Amino acid sequence: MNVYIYKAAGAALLLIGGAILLSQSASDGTQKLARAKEALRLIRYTAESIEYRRATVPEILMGFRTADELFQNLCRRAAATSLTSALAACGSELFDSGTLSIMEEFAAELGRGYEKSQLELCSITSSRLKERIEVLEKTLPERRRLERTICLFIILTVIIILL
Amino acid sequence: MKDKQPKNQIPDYIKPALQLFPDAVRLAITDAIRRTSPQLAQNVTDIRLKRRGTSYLSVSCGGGFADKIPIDFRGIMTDKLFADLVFSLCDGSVYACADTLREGYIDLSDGFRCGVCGRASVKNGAISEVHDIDSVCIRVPRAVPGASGLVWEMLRDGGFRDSVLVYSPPGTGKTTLLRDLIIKLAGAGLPVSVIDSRGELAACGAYDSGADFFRGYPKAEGMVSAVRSMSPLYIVCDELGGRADAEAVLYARSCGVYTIASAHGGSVDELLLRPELRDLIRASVFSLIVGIRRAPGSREFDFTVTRHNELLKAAQ
Repeated sequence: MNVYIYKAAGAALLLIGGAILLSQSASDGTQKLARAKEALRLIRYTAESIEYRRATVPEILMGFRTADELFQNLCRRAAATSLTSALAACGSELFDSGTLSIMEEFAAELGRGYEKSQLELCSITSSRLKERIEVLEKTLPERRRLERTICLFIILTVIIILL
Repeated sequence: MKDKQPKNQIPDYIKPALQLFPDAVRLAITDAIRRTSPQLAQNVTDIRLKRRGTSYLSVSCGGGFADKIPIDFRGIMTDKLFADLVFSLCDGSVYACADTLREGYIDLSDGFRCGVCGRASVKNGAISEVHDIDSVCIRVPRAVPGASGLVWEMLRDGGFRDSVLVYSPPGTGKTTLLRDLIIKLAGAGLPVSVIDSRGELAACGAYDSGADFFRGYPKAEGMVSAVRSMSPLYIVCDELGGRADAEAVLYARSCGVYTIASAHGGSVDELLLRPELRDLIRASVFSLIVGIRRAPGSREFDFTVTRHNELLKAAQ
């Protein structure tokens, strides 16, 4: 009798843990896709601010508004220090590795040249981010399918344990 | 083994300038000041940083640079550090400084004048961009209360109805004198417009004096805007340059606005060599022309005042 109780408890823990992991992973994927889109919006805003207002980098970063609190904090931090150091401090929390690498390369060149080269930098970064977003959008359903499969395996494992 | 060389405190007047630099540069400058003699440490006028060659602090002893304090970067001044320095002086936005870089400076606001030189790209006969900046020269502003002394007294005694041209060789203190005058004129409740093209006049309390600052405006356009929009009694402007500036001064005078301006020159005769200044003098725009000098090591000015009737004779 006791063995069944332990088995049931173990199975329940496995189910709960799996469910939590799956939901976190799903929401993490969605968030990172959303942040890659916000990053693209920031790059477009930067290009417009450079072209039409000649705003400085700190002014641009302070002026960018987003509903994503972590992204907004990144911008505030970047305005006070630099985008490079802000990304080094909290970039991996916000972005997937591909988006982060694009943003780091952008940050390393941002502000270091004249208008033409900066607009070119924004344009290249926008294209790279768009491609990255497409990849993320494609892989997100695949990832969800994979997660669902893992979930099914967990349930099967639980059933086997119970038997 | 302990270093027994006496070390100076960093003088207060130079501390704001040190905030402009990346850590490595700031430490090297601080070290140079600490190790020099106290008298030199108290009289630093310019911070001259070079990508190649020796960087140093200029020490003024009155109209000319009499001494310098070498800055020992101990091999850390690389091309990258120098590029980072320029990047940092541009507030991380080189493109936003394109116009001023073309004219040979970076507007740091807060009264710091930062001259730069490097390699110019020329398009259709005009400088389009400046690259590979090699040298940076930052003038350290400092307040000298009462610097305008005699000039202020003459303006006051004349009922504030005089235009003044202040002249001296570079580095003697024209900008310091103008700042002190701005503070006094605005403090007396007079409407004063300041055309601060390079952000130098706004230092040492002048910006908070109550005068209207036209920051970053080209001088001629700033003067015309000031006359049209702010109804000033006085326009203050540093370093009159070309024909356009002279025409703007004439325009202001024809509208009943007095000008207090400065110009480089060692004597009235030298001023008269410049056609635009000669025309202004002939038109009796400036009723007072004031030359300034400083004795070596002194912060007090010696004034040479020439009135417009004497100038007319000289101009003929």
